[in-house]
Amino acid sequence: MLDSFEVRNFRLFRHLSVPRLSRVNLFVGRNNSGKSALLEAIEAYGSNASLDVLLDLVLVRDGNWESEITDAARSILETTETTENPLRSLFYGHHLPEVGAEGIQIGPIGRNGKITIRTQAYQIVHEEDVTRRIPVSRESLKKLDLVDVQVGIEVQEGSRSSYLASTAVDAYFMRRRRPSGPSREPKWVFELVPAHNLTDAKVAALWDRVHLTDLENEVVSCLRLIQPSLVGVAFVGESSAQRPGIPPRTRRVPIVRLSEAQDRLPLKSMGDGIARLFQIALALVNSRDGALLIDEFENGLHWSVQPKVWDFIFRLSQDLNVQVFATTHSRDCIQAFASVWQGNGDLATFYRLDTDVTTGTKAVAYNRETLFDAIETEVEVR
Amino acid sequence: MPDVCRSEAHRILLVEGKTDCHVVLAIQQHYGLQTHFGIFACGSDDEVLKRLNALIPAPTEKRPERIGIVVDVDPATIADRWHQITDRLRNHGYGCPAVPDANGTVIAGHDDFPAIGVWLMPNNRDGGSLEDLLIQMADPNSIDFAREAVTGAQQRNAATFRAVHLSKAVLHTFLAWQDEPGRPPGLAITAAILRPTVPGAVAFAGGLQRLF
Repeated sequence: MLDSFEVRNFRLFRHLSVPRLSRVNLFVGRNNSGKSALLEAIEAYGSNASLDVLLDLVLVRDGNWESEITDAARSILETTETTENPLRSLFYGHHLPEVGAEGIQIGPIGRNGKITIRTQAYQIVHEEDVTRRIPVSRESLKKLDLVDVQVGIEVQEGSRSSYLASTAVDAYFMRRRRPSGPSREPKWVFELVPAHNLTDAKVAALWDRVHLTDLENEVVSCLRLIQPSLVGVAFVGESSAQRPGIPPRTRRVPIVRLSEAQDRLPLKSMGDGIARLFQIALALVNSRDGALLIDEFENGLHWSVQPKVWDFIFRLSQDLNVQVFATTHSRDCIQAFASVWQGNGDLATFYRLDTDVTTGTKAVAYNRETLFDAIETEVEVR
Repeated sequence: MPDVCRSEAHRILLVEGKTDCHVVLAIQQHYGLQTHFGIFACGSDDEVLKRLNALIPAPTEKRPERIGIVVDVDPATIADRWHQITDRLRNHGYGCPAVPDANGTVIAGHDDFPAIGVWLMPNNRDGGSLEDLLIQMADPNSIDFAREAVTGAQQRNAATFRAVHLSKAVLHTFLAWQDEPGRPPGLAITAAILRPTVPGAVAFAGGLQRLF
């Protein structure tokens, strides 16, 4: 479990420091304050800077991060080639750092356990069938024949560093041309529930991992917070309409049965709230001994159900040893969170991300008493 | 019309109740400090501390640049009251003196957090309340007579107030027989029935001036 977290030179963070983290951590802030970027940084760290995860952050979530870039950065993007290295947009200022410059640093506060992602010059040495990359310092670059030197992106943790990708290729080539050598294991498992919800395929995959286990019962009992008469959930195939020349695609969708009715219903027909809750519950039970990230917790959830959902999350995150990181803009969500925090001592933290002139973003901590006082006196916390 | 006792100014004085608010308004007017700060009546001493606690880390556009609080020492002791306040401030990273300043304590802001001023009624030294300051502002002969009258009422079992409200009973007995009878304390200051020029009131106004 992360007990603190620090980010440098990632997305809109020049330097963000979150001095204390606990089991359940809620972050608020205005649009563009960096809430989603913080979840991304935690994801990048948890994946141990996996190339797949980093590329997903850039490519899959374009919609998310585009809204968070500054006008200055946007003009840079518009004038660059689309094939330019996609990972550049993860770096502060949206460009890759020069060789030798400080790169992205993510991890717990303090010296140990941080991951650094930066550019590195390599001398290419061909030895019989093997091509080796030998890191060279910025100083010695001047002395070398530049024909044999390439610049790449490397990941460093402590004294160990490994090559991640070339700086010269686009995402398509990056995915195809994996770096050789031992791959880095993720630091922990984690699941993300994005603001705009998971794909059907992802939801089905999460379900398959817990189907017929005790964890399935936890998911179903969570859905009963909204729909008490829910008997059970199953996944069924749903074929897309067939068109000449195109093979039919099958997707699997959740259906439910209610005790008072004979018919089975698609889960999604029962409203956004239950679909959102299903995803949160599934992601939570799939994150055992790891982390659950929820972007815009409140999406689709009626205010009256939110305390029950937080209660479920507080309880199950302890039982399954899951660390939870969630974001919200909603006052209802904050109140619901606070009401559950009240009975759970040191199990939670609450921060607001504020824009800061020097560091890009600052995390302002609220302890339990301060959050209650703000809610009671109706002083804004968002 | 906006409520003068629920100001959202960026230099804000938090007080307990409406009476406190109107007393400060009258003193503010006497010393020409009207434009220096706004006043927010929180409802109780507890609410003052809660609002202070919540305003310090509020989002930038809602966060005051200076916050003053005026609370009675009663019903606590001066030491307990001081701890109650400074414990909260220390949680937000403020460095606080061990004892309050007799002229009103001003604690410097840090990072983006506001400067904080604290005035413990009546004088940052003794137990008591706003009414103890107001009593000093009354004519000494008249207030002594009011005190005798209140004591007499107690002895004749004609009074039901709680011991903690003795000063309040004395003050309002005094106000009851001024012209015109029964003005609230704020209006009594404006009407010069209570004099904002006595040393205790001068010190209080000086404390406000230093903070704002």
